[in-house]
Amino acid sequence: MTVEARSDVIRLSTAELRSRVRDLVAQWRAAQRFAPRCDSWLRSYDPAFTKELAQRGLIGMTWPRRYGGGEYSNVDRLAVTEELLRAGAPVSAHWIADRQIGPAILRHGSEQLRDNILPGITRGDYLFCLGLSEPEAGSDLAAVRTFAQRVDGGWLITGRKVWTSGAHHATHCYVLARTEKAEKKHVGLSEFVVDMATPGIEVTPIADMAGEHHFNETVFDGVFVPDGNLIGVEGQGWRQVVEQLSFERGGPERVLSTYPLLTLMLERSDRIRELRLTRDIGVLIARLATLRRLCWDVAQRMDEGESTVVEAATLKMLGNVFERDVITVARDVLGGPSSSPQSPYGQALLASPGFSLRGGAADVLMSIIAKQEAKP
Amino acid sequence: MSDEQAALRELIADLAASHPGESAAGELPGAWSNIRELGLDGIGVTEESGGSGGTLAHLAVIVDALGEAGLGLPVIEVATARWVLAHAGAAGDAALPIVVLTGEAGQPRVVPDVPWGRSADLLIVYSEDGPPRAYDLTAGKATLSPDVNLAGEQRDTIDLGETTGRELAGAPAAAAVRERLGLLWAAALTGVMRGAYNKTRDHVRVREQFGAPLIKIPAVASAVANFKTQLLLAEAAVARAVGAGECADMASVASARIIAASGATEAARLAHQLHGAMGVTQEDGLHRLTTRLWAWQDAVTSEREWSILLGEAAIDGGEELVWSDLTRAF
Repeated sequence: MTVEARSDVIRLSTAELRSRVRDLVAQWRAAQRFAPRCDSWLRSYDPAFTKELAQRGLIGMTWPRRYGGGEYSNVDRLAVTEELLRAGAPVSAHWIADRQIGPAILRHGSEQLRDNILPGITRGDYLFCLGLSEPEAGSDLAAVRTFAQRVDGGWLITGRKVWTSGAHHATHCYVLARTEKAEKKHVGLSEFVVDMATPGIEVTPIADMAGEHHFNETVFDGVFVPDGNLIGVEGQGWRQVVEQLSFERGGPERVLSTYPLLTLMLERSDRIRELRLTRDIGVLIARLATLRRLCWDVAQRMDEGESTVVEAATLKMLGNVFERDVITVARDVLGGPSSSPQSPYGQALLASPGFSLRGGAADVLMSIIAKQEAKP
Repeated sequence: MSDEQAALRELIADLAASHPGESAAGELPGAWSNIRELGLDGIGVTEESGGSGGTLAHLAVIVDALGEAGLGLPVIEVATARWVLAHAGAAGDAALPIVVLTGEAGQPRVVPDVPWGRSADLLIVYSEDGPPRAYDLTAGKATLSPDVNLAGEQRDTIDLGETTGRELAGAPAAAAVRERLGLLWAAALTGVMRGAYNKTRDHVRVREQFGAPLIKIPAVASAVANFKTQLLLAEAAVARAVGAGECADMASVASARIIAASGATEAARLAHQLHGAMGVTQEDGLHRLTTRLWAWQDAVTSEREWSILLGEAAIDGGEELVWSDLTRAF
């Protein structure tokens, strides 16, 4: 399935892209079709909103036009994603496909796989979940046990994946699996695209501490995956996934998960003054300004084809601390002992333990940076 | 880094290497004469106005590189004073002009905390109202009480006595001077942070304890990583403010200054922790960097004042204004 180059897609300036997002958000807010919320890229699911973005050419923006992309730079995409996060818009349906699976398929996938999958993502039809972590392999990602057995015409995948956010909605799952039992755990891993409609997949909800359902356990029991759904080279999965993780770590969602809370605080100037928190607000704004700059640095490096491993790890670590510190100030400005789990403060606080765990725990990121710095 | 920046950094590194000894507290370091010969105290002022040409961005690189080398020289104060004088059409031939912001109404008779006061020959004083005034310190009418800051750099109190000075009509507004100084101090602090980081990283890679280099200890590796992220953040903050051009705006300067100042606290703590007891000796030399982190983090306008300024602007303007201000650039 190929789509023709979309000649109707006109390249917009960064400012035009921003106002395109702001207009859509304003329309939806006016029609009360969504309420801004923290952590919306993980927790706010609305396939209709995803479709609207797709129609405006805002999914797969950096990809070639032949797949429905817009051939924009990563810096342009950053302007769009940060506007969406600022608004706390319902973007979780397509976030993972747009952020990391599409780029992974584009870099390593076969021509056939690209043709099969990418246009579905840019149309807003194909929604991905991420089959990386396992019960025995969380921070130690290379320890995955899920096995892909070679069979005629493809593989049979068997194993358990956890924290597969959105698996209950997803049309496809990205799966990291072992295709070879090697001595070294980083050897013999491969990446696959699995159609969630294939028989043998069972998705079980894992409710989080807020009582929300976005996590799942996804069990694969001899699930057939055709040859063409291998991403890249068999056994080279580790090298490929490390690249993918830079895409996962280096974006504005590592800084702006609690931005809607900051927006609410800035409406309470009276209370901020009364509590003498002006200085704390100033510090938050300074950090936000600078972290945005780090996001830009990462996007620029991506555009220039440079490695972003250390920069993305730094951004994620410092960004997560900022997200948490916004909540700390909000505790005084908006919180209080009777805050409900549904209050903006409550929602953000209950989501916060995940910030420095998902996408690489802070401790793992520290060791990535330290390893780089220990080199002579 | 551009070739031009690299060349400026190399120039400063050579200059620092040719003055390895330490100046005694309260002394104007010998490297100052080299700065003068090279005209580096006139960067950011056009040649037509008696300066050395170049931009604020070049000047930021110079003060960053001086900071990295742990050198405390009056470059920020003198270059900014020359910039003020040039804009007022009063370039003159002062060898070491200094500019201060009192933050109070009316011209004072006694000016406290004058950097390099006893070495200066011209003092420009900004009050909160009206144009600044320039005072000739060579006329013998002013009296001086010497003191030093935490890094042993001259910070003197000057009693102007009967000196009347002259008004500098057409000089930049106090806020513009505050922002220029703020940006340069942020750059200088970032340079010192880098110097402290490099020295610390070298130390933990070489120094062995428990039979291996210190960096093999996970807690030490984490501290190094933390230090590195603070440095990267400060560098990003300064790059952002410098990118705003000659007319650096309040918000980006305040951000850079706040990030560099809070990073300085963390940098000094980590550098000393990782150097162990050796780091607190005169001999080791780490103090040349860490005392500057402490002395400079609140120079001219404190971290607290910048934070309140930025916070006030944010709650007065509201989110719409904050966001549109932020998104004018990255």
